[in-house]
Amino acid sequence: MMSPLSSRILFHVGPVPVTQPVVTTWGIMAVLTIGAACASRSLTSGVPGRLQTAFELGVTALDGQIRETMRTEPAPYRAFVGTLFLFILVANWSSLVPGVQPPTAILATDAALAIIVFVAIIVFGIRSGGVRGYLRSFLWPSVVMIPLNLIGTVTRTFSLMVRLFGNIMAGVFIIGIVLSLAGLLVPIPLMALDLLTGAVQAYIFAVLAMVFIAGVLTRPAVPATPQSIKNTGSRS
Amino acid sequence: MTVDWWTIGLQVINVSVLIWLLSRVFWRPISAVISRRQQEIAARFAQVADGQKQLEADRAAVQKARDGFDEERAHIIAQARQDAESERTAILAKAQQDASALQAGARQSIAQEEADSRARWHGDAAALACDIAGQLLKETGSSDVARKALFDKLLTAISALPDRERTGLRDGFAFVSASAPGPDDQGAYETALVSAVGGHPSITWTTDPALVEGFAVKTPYLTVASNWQADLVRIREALSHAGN
Repeated sequence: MMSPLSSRILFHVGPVPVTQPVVTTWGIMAVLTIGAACASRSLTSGVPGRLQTAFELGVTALDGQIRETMRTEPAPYRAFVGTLFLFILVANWSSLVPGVQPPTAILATDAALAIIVFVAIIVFGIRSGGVRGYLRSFLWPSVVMIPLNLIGTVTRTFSLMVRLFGNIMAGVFIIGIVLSLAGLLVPIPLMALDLLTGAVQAYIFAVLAMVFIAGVLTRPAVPATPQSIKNTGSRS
Repeated sequence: MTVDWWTIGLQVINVSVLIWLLSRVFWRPISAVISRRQQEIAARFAQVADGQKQLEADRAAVQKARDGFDEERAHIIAQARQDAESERTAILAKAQQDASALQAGARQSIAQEEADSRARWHGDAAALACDIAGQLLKETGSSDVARKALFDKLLTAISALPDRERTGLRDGFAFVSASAPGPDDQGAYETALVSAVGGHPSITWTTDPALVEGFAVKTPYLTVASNWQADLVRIREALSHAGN
């Protein structure tokens, strides 16, 4: 078993080494994109089928989660948060495919995800309140907290990376060790547990990303329902 | 430990591209479908609300029309009562007028009948009186004095005739007496008649007891009477006319 801190280089594209997690990520991207394209091709505003109903249910649940967590209109954040959740979920569960190592079990992928969240926090913060508004978020709750807020911005990104990496990597390692020690069928309960862990970690990562983004948003009064969001108008 | 910056960079790009791709092919279409369906549902709710408003408006209009019907019904009933009252009054007035006319007609008819009855009874009474008088004269009234007076009266009447009629008698006439005169009387009568008429008329002597007493001179065109029967007829007519 290779070190989780490094990844195997499969080939090079010019000077760029293409590692196994990158290729796996491309596969996941292809599956998700093609599947989404096929699913959205037969969408109808009339009576939906079972698959469309499931998709709409998922989107509605995601919107509800964004509303409850971020207390704002979900549309600007739906694609970011939803895609993060889907990608991490599928990446975590890709360990069920024989011979595939989940990309999220590699530190570089988790670091990339954390960096994306870090950048997204800044982008959404500036988009919400402008540069001054975003910088003013470091003053909360007082000027004294500026250093801690700056440190927290980095550490919470780091914690995102480490949390996801540790949980997924640990699951993969445990399964590998048990498989090497006990035999073929013994790791199955652990793999089931790994499924649960993967789903929970995807959910935690998405929720924490929402919380961190929401922390820099300049929000109006807390909306309770989608209707009340429409009635209160756009955010200031 | 080394940091694999290339992998980190590639993964950042990969996930960013994936976010962009899914945003295009998955999240936006599905959210658009959901939004469209919500709009359709909202539109249907709005239609239902409009329908309910329309129903309420229709119900209010129906209620208003019903109230109008009630008012119109009350108005029609009041008008009908007024018309009926007017018609009843008119009918009563006409009935009273007709009754008065009938009453007046009946009174007039009764008065006429009374007058007719009175005249009829008067005539009957006069006829009866004349019959009684005639019968009494027939039984007791015949006398030479009365006969002579009646003959003088006849002569006076002939003398009073216009000349044309009196000369017409010269062609001949019938001399009617209530009883056959004796030969002397017949001669005296003939002399007096010829003297009164003039000329030489042929005289036909006849007897008619119906004259009761007296005489009559008759031609086909003229009758000169001086007898009680003629007097009684005249008296009866006079009494009858007096009764009317």
